[in-house]
Amino acid sequence: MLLKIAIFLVIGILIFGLDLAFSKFKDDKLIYVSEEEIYSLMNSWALQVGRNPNPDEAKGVIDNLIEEEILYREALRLGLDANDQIIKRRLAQKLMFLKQESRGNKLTELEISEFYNNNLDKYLVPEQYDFTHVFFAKDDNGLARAQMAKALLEKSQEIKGDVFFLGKNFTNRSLNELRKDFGVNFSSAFEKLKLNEWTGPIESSYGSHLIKLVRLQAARTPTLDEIKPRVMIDLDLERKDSVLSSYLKELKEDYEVIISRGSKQIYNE
Amino acid sequence: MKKLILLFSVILLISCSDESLDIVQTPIDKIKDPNADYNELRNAYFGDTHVHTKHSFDAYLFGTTGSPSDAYRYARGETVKHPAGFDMKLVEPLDFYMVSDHGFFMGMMEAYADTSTEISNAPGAEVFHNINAPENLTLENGATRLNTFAQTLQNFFLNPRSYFDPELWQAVLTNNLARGLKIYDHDVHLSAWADVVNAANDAYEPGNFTTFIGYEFTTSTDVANENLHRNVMFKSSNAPKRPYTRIDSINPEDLWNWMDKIREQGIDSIAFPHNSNGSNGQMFEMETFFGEPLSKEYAALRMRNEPIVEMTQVKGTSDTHPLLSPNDEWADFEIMEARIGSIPPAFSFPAGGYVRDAYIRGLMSNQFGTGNPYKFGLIGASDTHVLGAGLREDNYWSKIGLVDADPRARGSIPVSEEDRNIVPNRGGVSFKEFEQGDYVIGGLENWGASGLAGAWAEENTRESIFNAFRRKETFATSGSRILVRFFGGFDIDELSFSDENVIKSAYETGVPMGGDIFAEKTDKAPSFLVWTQRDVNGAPLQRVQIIKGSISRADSSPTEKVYDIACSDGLQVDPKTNRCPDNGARVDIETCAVSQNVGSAELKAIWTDPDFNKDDSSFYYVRVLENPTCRWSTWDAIRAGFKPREDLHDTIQDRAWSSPIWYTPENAENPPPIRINAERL
Repeated sequence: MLLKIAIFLVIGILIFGLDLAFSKFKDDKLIYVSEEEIYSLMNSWALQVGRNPNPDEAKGVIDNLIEEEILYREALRLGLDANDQIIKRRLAQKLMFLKQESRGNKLTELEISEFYNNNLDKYLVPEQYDFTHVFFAKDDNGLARAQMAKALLEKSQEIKGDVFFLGKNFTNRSLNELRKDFGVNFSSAFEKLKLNEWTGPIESSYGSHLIKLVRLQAARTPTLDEIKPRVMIDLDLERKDSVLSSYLKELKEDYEVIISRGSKQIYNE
Repeated sequence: MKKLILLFSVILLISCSDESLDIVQTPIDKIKDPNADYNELRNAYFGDTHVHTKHSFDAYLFGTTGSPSDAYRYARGETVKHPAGFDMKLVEPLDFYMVSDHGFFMGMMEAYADTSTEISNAPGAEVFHNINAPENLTLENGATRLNTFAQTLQNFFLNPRSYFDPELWQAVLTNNLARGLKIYDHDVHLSAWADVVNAANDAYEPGNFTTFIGYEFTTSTDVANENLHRNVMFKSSNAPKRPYTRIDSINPEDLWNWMDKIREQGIDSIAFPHNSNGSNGQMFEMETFFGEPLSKEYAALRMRNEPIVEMTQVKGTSDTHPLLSPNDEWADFEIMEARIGSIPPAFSFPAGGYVRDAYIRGLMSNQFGTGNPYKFGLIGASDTHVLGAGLREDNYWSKIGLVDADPRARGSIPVSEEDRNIVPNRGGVSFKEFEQGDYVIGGLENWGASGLAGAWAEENTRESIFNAFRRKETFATSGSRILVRFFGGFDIDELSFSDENVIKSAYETGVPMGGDIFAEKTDKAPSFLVWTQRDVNGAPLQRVQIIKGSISRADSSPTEKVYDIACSDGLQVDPKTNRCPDNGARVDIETCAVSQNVGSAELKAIWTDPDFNKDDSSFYYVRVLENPTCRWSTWDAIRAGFKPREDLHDTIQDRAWSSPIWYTPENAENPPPIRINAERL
């Protein structure tokens, strides 16, 4: 009985040993070079060099392929792909592009109008002002002249200022445009102007202005028809982002993220 | 290369479709913003038409990874990142913008860097693998890149494919020389160009923000590689399938003929040369590319396609050179004397390289009956290679990414012995010892925080701004948004600034900048209306000048004169010297603080030419000077705790130039008995 057990063990160990010994010929140690691969290698060699490779050269080309494959696999086995920034980024990028391109191409009318309705604030056109002004050049004692003119205006007398470079009457000007053309002091005064009333003098980079606001168009959102091409571009961009971010969100649920205590503060900020 | 050219000349006869002549129609039905302004008396719009992104081979090499779309976001006032990691932002958004990546090798560098592409395996590409991976975006790495590039260019870029390569035959059949190069991937190139086109069309918002499809035709002479670069700007949303590049031809005349051909297909475009200052006098030569004499046909071809010149940008200003204009006290402005691309820097011969001299040459050519090929308008632009320029002395990052991101590398502060590895090695770096230490010398210290294009257009749309360029109703600035109105005519002296409709009347009785006035029967001298306004965010104005150049009918000798016509702070021009008195504006070099309450918000004058001779062909253009402020190099120095470098200007007078108005006498083309002033030619 004991002998039988011993024989059984010996045979078992032998098989185990053989299996160990031969296991290195298993799939992950097998490099199969297909005919197609060789053919395409030879082809591109011939394209670059301008003739077919001689037997030595052909062998060299195939050797190169084999050696590269071996080095690649050994590198994988040694775990060299881990923690390599370039490989990481490359793989992440590949997946990112694949995901982004998986968005549908066609935008339906419904999607467009839904997107438009959900992003009304993005398409908001800010307040716009129509106004006229009387200008008094800084170089020519502008402020004092403007104050005198204001007093005359209050007595309903006619006044005359200097001709202004950008003209006398302005329509549809937003606060940003006013800041660009006149400076910040001038544009910030507009929020307090009353309709059809002369206000001032208000100082710009150029001198003093008496201003009468003629029309104030409240901020408004253009209709979808007016801005459809822009909405479609925005929607497409948003889709690219959302496909990726929803995919990431899904995956994130399976991951637990721990941030070292020291860095936590930076992350939360 | 010879092999290729031979092949081409043989096979050209049977060549079929040429993709540079295939038009890709991209109709865009964008509606103009109904609230946007329309002004029949025209508004001034400011823009930059010379901008490189990652698709330019050199910009990518300098570390730029931003796309054309990113560039347009920058123009609209958003913040984008510089390759060296800091934020870039404009003080105010711009009105129009054109991405102008180099046509040749467009998109290729990014594909070499990306090791998953097929072309990255091409011989020579390996030095570019992953160059812009974050760990490689360092100043030290940037410093070595120019050399890497120069070597690769020599060794690999022009290697043709073999006769057995189907791509070579494609190259021949489609008349596309580039395709026959080993290091060139046609698909990559086409998709980069498509990205440029699409980004411009996507970002265009008629009424509020205009974009142009464009690219740079980066060519040079074959004799000494002298700069002949120009940008091409398309009028509409349609563009050729591929840009026509220096690989197709290095001769600008071939570019113009190509532009003529696509114009026949309905695609209008114009080109504008730049950095004539670094062309070794070749940009405005008195002969054609192959050394043939000028002709009326040449002048017409050139003016049809190149009505504009970019006369100021980061690589210096090409108004005039102190050697060419010894009597102009303001000629020494951001002079950059190195030939473009010369390593180490070689001196660029001034005559033929500056616009004032070119205007004279044009008049002379016309007088000799060979037409005027140099009757162009002016714009400025930046030539930034990092998506955007700061356009201000106090907001400057030069333009070639990692290579000049650091003040030490661009020579504005000293560089210590240990830090020399951040200095770009351009075929040997030179250092010069000054009081505060060793400084880099080699050219970057002579670059400037310039420039902008101004266009007088009815509205902010492609059509309207493009037409302004065509009319030459444009002006150039060194970065400030100075506004310049300029009109000329024989009855302009009857106008008055107290008339509210003075601009309307000026359009009716005279011509705006870029226009022509012709001889009248009377002997009356022409007069000019000039009205300028300061930049809200810039310095006050100091003086306005008219620069006049003319050719004597009697002996063809040129004259040139600078007249101050309006002075700040109520000062009067001295009629004997034609100069304003000093307005007393000063800069404190330790803090960059400027004199308060000196200088004017606007300057204007109606001026009649006191030296008019009705027989002499002449041109007149306006130059407006701001009060002095600190130059960028001074800002760099004081921010780092140094004094300004001794051999550079501490301060600068930012300025604007209008396009000229030309006066043409009767029988201007009748050559007089020739007594050429040989020195000038």
